[in-house]
Order: sequence, then C-alpha cells, then structure tokens
Amino acid sequence: MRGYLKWSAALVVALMVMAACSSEPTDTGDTGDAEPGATLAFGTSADPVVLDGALVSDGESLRAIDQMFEGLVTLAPGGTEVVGGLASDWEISEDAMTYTFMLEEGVTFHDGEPFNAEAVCFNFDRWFNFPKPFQQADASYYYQTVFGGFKGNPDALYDSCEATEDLTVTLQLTRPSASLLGALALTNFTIASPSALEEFGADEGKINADSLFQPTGTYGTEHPTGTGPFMFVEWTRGDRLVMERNPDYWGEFEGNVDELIFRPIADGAARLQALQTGEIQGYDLVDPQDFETIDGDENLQLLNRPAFNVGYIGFNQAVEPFDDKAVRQAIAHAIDRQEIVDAFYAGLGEVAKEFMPSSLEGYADDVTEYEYDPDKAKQILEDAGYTLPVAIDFAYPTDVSRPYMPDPQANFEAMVSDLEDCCFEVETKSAVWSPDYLGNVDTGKYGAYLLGWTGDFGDADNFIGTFFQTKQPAWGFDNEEVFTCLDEAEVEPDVEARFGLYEECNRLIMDFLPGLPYAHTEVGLAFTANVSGYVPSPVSLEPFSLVTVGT
Amino acid sequence: MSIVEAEAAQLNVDRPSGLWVDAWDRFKRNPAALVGIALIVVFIVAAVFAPQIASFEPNEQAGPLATNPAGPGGDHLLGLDQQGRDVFTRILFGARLSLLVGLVSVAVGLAIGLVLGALSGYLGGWVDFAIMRLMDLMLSVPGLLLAIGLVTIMGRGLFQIMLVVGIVQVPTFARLLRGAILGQRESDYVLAARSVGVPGHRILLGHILPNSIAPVIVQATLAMATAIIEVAALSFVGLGPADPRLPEWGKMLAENANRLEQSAHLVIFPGLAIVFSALGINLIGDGLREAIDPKLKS
Amino acid sequence: MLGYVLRRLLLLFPILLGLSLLVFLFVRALPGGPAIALLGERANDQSIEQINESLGLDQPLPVQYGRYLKNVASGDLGSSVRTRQPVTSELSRRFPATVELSLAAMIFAIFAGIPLGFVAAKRYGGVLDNVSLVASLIGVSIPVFFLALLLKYIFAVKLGWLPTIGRLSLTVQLDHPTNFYVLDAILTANWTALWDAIKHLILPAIALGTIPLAIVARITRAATLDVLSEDYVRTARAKGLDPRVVDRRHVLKNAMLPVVTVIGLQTGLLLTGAVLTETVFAWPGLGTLVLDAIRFRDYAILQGGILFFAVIFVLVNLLVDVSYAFLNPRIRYR
Repeated sequence: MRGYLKWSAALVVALMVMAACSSEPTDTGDTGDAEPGATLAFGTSADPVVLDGALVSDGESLRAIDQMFEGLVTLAPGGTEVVGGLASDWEISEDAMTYTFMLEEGVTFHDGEPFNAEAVCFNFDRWFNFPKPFQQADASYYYQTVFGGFKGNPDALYDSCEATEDLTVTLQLTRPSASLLGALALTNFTIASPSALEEFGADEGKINADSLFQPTGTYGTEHPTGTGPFMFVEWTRGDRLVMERNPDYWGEFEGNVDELIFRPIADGAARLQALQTGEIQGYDLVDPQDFETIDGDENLQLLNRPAFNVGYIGFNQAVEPFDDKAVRQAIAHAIDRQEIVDAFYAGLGEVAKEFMPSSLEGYADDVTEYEYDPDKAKQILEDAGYTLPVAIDFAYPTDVSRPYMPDPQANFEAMVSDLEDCCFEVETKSAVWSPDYLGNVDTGKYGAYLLGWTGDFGDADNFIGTFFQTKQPAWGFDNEEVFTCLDEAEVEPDVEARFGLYEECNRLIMDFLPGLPYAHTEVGLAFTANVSGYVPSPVSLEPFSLVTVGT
Repeated sequence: MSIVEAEAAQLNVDRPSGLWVDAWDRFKRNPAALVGIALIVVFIVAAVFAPQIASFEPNEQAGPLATNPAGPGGDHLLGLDQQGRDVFTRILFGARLSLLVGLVSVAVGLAIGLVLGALSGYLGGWVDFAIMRLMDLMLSVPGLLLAIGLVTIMGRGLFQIMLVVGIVQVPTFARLLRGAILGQRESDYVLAARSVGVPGHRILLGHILPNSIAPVIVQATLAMATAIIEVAALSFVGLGPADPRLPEWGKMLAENANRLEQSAHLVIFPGLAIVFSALGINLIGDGLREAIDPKLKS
Repeated sequence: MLGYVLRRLLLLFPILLGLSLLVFLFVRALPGGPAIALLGERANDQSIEQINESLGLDQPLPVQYGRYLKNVASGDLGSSVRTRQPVTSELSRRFPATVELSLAAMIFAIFAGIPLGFVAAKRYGGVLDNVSLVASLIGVSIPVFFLALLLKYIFAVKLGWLPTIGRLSLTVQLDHPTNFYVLDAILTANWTALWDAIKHLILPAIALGTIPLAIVARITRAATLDVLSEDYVRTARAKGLDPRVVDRRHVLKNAMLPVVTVIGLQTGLLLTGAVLTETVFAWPGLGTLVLDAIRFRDYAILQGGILFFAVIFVLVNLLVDVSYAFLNPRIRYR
C-alpha cells in the first residue's frame, strides 16, 4: 500500500509540475510581423445551423456565410448604404418592376466555375421553386418577407430572371417594389455555385418520421461554394468552422488573414477567458459585466457595433387592463428607464423614446415622451378611476441574452420593483426564451412582456412595419389609423416623402403607446490589441477580409 | 442489600441501557457529529431569526443598480447584488427557504417512499413486483435528469419543485424500507408474534417499522442535504424556482456563475452557505449512522 | 450465474420500453414547437402554426409513438430540429466526450479514493481517519457545479495553469479515428495533442470525480474496517504473515465488493454531474447536448439523448451486478 501511495503521489506531483511549467498560452501561429499567413480565431456564440444562405435566419449562420458568399449588392462597411457587390451597376425601370444588373467580370466560384448571369438566375429560380418543406418560415424567413411567397403563390413578387447577356441579368417582378435593392444586400440572397448546388444535393432530402424535412445533401454542411474572399475548409460542429483565404478572389482583400476559424463558445465569460488565454483573437457579444475587465486590459480592445436595435416592454391589449391607455401611460411614467439603461448596459445604451433607432431615416424627434414620474403615474390611474394598486401581469424570458437585453432578469426585477413602489401589483411570469416564451408572446398569452428587435436592413419598415402594420396576437390591438399610416409609408415611391410618412407614423405610435420602448444599445466586440481593420456594422455584416492581425 | 447489589442498583439508576441511549452516547462523543450540530444550529437560527438579525429587507433596494455591484464593505457585510439588495440579508432569508425546501421535499419523499416500501415489503407478490419495477424505472434515469424532466412538465413554482425533489427521493426510501422489512420478516420475534396470533398490521406498525426506522432516519438526514443541493442544481440549469425575488441560494449562485471574476462575492457566499448547511446535515447523518452501528455499511 | 445474467438481460427490454414511452410522453408534454428556436424574435403566430402543422404535432399520440418506435427499431432516431442532422450522428459525436470525462473522473475517484479509505480504516480513529472523513463529507456536501466553478476560477483563470474550456486547444491539430481524444492522440502518436488533451481533462475530471471520490473513500473505509476485524484476517496475522501480504491477499480483495457496487451506483452520479460539469467547462458532451435540447425543445435529440443515457446507466448497473456475483459466489439472487 505504501508503495502504491508513493507511486501515485509522484504521478500527481509530476502532472502538476508539467501543468505549471506549460502555463503560457499556446501560440496562434503568428508571432511574426504582419506578413500574410495570419490565423484569426473568432469566438462565436453558437454553431451555424447550415451554410446555405437561402435557408437560414440565425446570426451565426449569416456571419459565416457572409465571409464565403456575396450578393448582387452589398452594404458599405459599417453602415446601411447600398453599394455594388457582384453587380457593378444596375438600372431600375420607371415602373419599378424590372431590375437590370450588370455583373462584374472575371469572377469565379470557389470550385472554379465561372460566375455569370446564368448562375445568378439559377439561384433566383432555385429559391422561387423551393420544395414545400423549404418554404417553412424557419427555413426561408427572409425570402418570404422580401418576396412574399414562392411559386404558385399569387402574392409572390418574383416573376422571372433572364440572362440577357453573359454578364447582364434582368429581374422581372409582378408588381412595383421600392425597396428590393436594399433587401438584395441581405446575406440570404447571396449567389452560390450552381454546379455545387446540384452536385451536392442542396435541395435534396426526405421527410422523416417527425414530418420534418431532413436534408440528405451535403452542400450546406460540407460544400458551401460562393465567390467570397474566404473559402470553406472544414466544419466540425461544436468545435470549429475553418475557412481559408480565396487566392483567386476577384475583389480587394485588404487584410492579412489567411486562415479564419470560427469557434462556438456559448458562454460569454468563457469567450472572454478564451480571449485572455490567446485561444481566440476576438469575439462577439461581450457581456456587459466584462467591459471593465477588457477596458482595463492593455492587451485587449473593445469595439462597438452601432446601435440598431430596440428593447421594449410589449403590451397585449387583449388582456386587461392593458386595453386602457391610462394604464399604459402610467406604466411608462412609473419606470425609471434611465437608471436601468445606465446600470445594465455598460454605458453603451441609451433610453429609447420610440420603436426604432435614431440612425434610421423616419425617426421623429418630437414624439410624445414619458418621463419618469411615479406621482404622475398614480395621478393618471386615479383620474381614470382605478383603486391602487392596479394588478397586472408581466413576463420575462429566462435562459437568454439578447443584444438589446443582455440580462433580461436584471431589467425585469428593476422594472417590477419600480412598478410596485409606485402603484401596481405585479404578477411575475417567466418562460424559457425558446420556444415557450416566444410562443407565448406570439399567441398572446402574456399581458406585458419584455422583448426587442435587432434590425435586418436599413429601413423603418423593418422595425415599426414588422411590429405594427398588421393585427397581431402579441399586441392585441386593431388600430386602423396606425395600420393605414404604415401601409401608405411602405409603398410611397418618393424617398423623402416616405421618410416624412414614417415620422408621422412614429408620432402616432408613441401617442398610442402599444408598448414602451426603453433601450437602444451598441453591442460590444472584443479583440486582442494586435487586430485592426475590423469594421462593426449595425446589421452585423462584418467581413473578415478587412482585418489585419499584427505583431 | 449487599454492597455489590447497591452499587449495581446505583449503576442501573445512573445509566439506563437500551439501543437509543447507547446510540446517543456514541453520537455525543463523535466530534464530527458535534460540529454538524453546531452548523445546523447556526442554520436554523439564521432561518428563524432572519428578520431580527438582518438590517435590511431581502428585496429592498439598499444600493444602486449595477452590472458589477460592490463587494463586502461598509454597511453591507457581504456586499450588494445587481438590484442593489444586501447579500447578507438575502442569505439569511435564503436559509428559511432552504430549510423549508429540505424539510418538505424529504417529507414528501419519505411519506410516499415509506408507504410504497412498506406495501412492497409486507405484502410481497405482484404488489412487490409492480412497485419495485416502477422504482427500477425511476432509478434508471439519473436523479437530476428525472428532476429536470418533472420540473419541465410540472412547472417552476416553489411548491412544484419541492414536490419534484421529493419524488426523486422516493425509490431510495422505498427500497430501504422494503429491504429492512424483508430482513425483519423472518426474524424470531416476528415469527413468535405471528404464532401467537398478533394481526399482520399490528406486527408491521408495532414491531417491524420501529426496528427498521434507524437506517431510514439516517437516509432522511442525508436526503435533506441532497434536496438542498438538487434545488441548487436545478437553478443552475435554469429550472429552479421561477420567482426572481426569492433569495434561494442555488438561484443566487447560478445567476452569477458567469460573473465569477467580477462579482465573486455573489457566487462564493451563497455557495458556501449551501456547502455548510449540507455539510452540517451530512455530519449529523453520518454521526447518527456511526452511533447506531459503528461499522454499518451504507 | 448464466441464468441470472440472461434474466437480467431480458428484464432490460421492458425497462427500456417503459423508458422510451416515458421519454416520449415527457417530450410531447413540453409546450411549444421546436422550430421557433430558429426564428427567435422573427416568429409570429402564423409561423408557429405553420411549423407545428408540418412537424406532425397534430397527430394523435399513439400514432406518433408507434412511428417513433418503428424508427428506433430500425436505428433511426430522427433528426435534430435545429441542425437537421441525424440524432445518431450527434449522439455518436458527443458520447465519447462524456465517456472520456466520466472515465477520467472515475479513475481519479478510484485511484485517490481507495487508498484514502484504506489508510483511514487502518488507522481507525486517528487524525487521518477523521480528516479524511470530514474531507469526504465536504465532498458530498458541495454542489458539483460550485466546485467546478471554484476549480476553474482558481486554476484556470487566476493561476492560468490549465485551460478553461473545451477538449483541445484551438491551435492543436488532431485526427479523430475514435473521437476519444486521449486515445486518438496515442493512436496517431501525436504527443503535443496528448498532453493538450490531458490538460483539458484534468480540471473537469477532478470536479466531476470529487463526489465519487468521497463516496469511494468512505465505502472502502467501512468495508476495510469490516474485513480487518474478520476472524480469518486476525488468524493470518496471528500466524505471523507479513501484514502487507495479508492486506493485499485478503483485505483488499474482499473490501472490493462493496466498492464495485458503489462504482456502479456512481454512474448515475457521474452522468448527472457530467451534465453540470460540462456546462461549466463548455465540454461538448452528452450533458450539454441534452441541456441544449431541453432549452430549444429539440424533441428528437431529447428523446434520443435521454434514452441513450438510460441505456448506458442500465447496462453499467447490469455489469456491476454481474461482476459482483462473479467476485463473490456466495451471493444468492432471487
């Protein structure tokens, strides 16, 4: 027994010595200067779902696809201005029903196949003719939002695509559209190699026992083929997605990243730790509590993604007493939104006074505002004939952190505390974010709830149009004035007039107060100090081809 | 009376013998068990006298809202939390909750488990078979997963959670009692009682159960510690009591697990509270086990 | 003996069947449709309806269960709603990770626990005995995730001796014939990877193994105490046999019996602890898979994962019972 003990003790000591000795973080492989050959590992919050742009709506899939694929148009880095992508120029017909694109020359897909008008039309036709299971909302949300429907659907915007010349594409629509160009900058409309799509069965699959469409092709998991600055190398779910620089890239590759690795790390604190130990050189979605740490570390740097979101308390007017405007106003006055934004958003947040960020055209500065005044809240309720405290129910999601709401519970507790200190009695409800909470919100089960929205593209329609243009169980109201205002604004062809109309709608909405917006916030990204060139974008379109990893 | 007899008589008066008294003797002399008692006394005092000891309310905002709240210092012995509440106060009130949770869930598990175990052990036959197969089924899923499953269905109210944690304990108690009963059934005194004509249920209640109680008591104490830790684990995976204002230790720990570096005090103090409470209970349970039979295997 | 094993194996099927039904019902009792996970805030009442319809969630339960059983029998466990990948491939990817971790934890528990318990018993009542007793009691009083957090904080974050998350450093390349990283590294003679994989295993294994260690130590102590006082041991000593030989030949072997039982029971503890430890260390194993599946209502993964866990658990218990019978032929079984 003694011998055994001695032996195992020695082993343990040996292990500890070895551990202590190799305490330096392992090299990323780039100790030299900023010469080509840099590897950049980036910490993401989750794995992509699939690498087929047409079939995804989650941020991580979009991020990865953005590196390998391009669309006809794209956005200038850091903003929402539409600029040329694979199309160098375009023409929109008078009636806004025909879009003609002139394509770049000399572009090839990663598999060597030439990029041309035929390839573009192949992609558009593919989406239009998606098999039924791909037409589900969770698969092709963006196509449906933009194009309205698929083949056989009378609401479909798409009519046809023609390759009028080798490098000229003509898109024919069924009705005029003022906003299609901006929408085509979305990642979901990037162009993939037709031969790869066919060869690897991008549309193949079978219906399995759960009535779920199960893709059997390997396109989206092993052979995503685009025209972008990076090419797919390999993908091990839960571990890493590896991409490498495209040596035949047709455009400008300003950075020096040769190998780009996305590493899914679900926990924000774990992402920070990985950054500190050098396992990754950057990550997204920095937790507010880590800002101080990163700021104080001279080896790290913080970048901010411009605010393009809104956090709000939603009111369901089908549930009493939220149908009474007095109650909604009282809630607005009872909560100290400034205190919450100051405390829980690491200095990156600002109080929201309407349902879209100020950087969007259509933002109105002179909307009705609701200052923090609990006494006023009490007055309003009493004037309306209520005995205090007024009973309401209020829900928040667990198990989630959203950019506009990094810590839902913290916001919630502070709000409830304010409400109860004033004049309300709150019944608290909560559910796991997905699918329970979202499902409950969307089917109108809650009275008041915490929610928010991150913009997809630079148009007011994407915010207030999505929320308030139609009757929805989540909001529970039927207000013709608001619906009409938004309908008109959406189809107004004159750009300036359109902005004016949206401003009007914002005034209407904030007077009606279907919900209480409370925060817009920038989102934090962290990098090691030697990384430069990364340009945060409000819609998270952030190409790594611009990034340089220094010494 | 001879001197010997007198002395013997004196001894009898001074030291009445019996299983329980001997056990108590041994228990008293076990230092670990005494430490356990000390810890539990602290726990119970904290739970019962929380309002008197604490200088704040558990949900009172005594300081500013902050993502990285202040640690121990000034008026706040253990610091503040994100909602500006005093941590020391919340831990004291959390003792109440943990005490409640421990007692109720063990009571539930004990009640159901004992009934099932007694029925199984005494009636035998297909009743035994059915009950034991159900217990096997329950035991074939690891405890936490079973708890997670039940909570997901039954909801996250405090009462439901206590019920769930209790239910998860049932197979252990059932098996324990069944085993004890089976052991006792063939023993001499039971056979003797039977032959004399004492009715079955009286034998069960009057003889078998009291003699089987010892291991059950030990298991019950240990189950309390497990209950407290299991609720903490449920909170950690996001399935603890839903009301965010409850000062439940596991919840406090779980909510701040990813803030260890910035707000260590929010993780360490609730964690230590759990450890010391569970330790106290385990020390007592262990001491009981040693006292009843110093070499008793688990 | 053979009869016993066969009987236990036969019992396996009804247990598994019962379990599959339980799991199936449980998963169906969960509210909501799983595909909303992919939509997030973009979901609305229409998309929810559409998704539920297409998932066949409106079929009567017995029909769904029947289809499910049929598929399981043919090895098809369905596919994950989120990733659309077959459940079997997800399970086979994650399973070795959890097994590797559990094995490492078990090895730690056994190789540290048995000697601890043994020595504590030999010096019954002494300082070491009491200290080890308290230490092992603290071990079972500490929530495994608290311990994991503390270990991670002290050794990985503050001292930086060991890595914080994952199974392998990003910068290390390793081929994966078996997906057991330690084994893979040995098979491919990749020594940097071997050391890296072991480094990543150390903290999670210690965190996961501490509670089993405490229990193993106590059981060994109790069992050793028992055996030490047995007549045949005292006889052997009295006869003048070297006490160490006595230890090895008699005491240890007989003390092993309850230890083996406990090791079997620990599987449940390990699987549970694995779920929590994996979360703290971002270990890509079955534990995190099942937790994510619960979070996202990924029915297929949930069903497959829980069933899988249960099968392992039941099989290990069977193995333990059989080896118990093997070690001690005096045990009778009903």
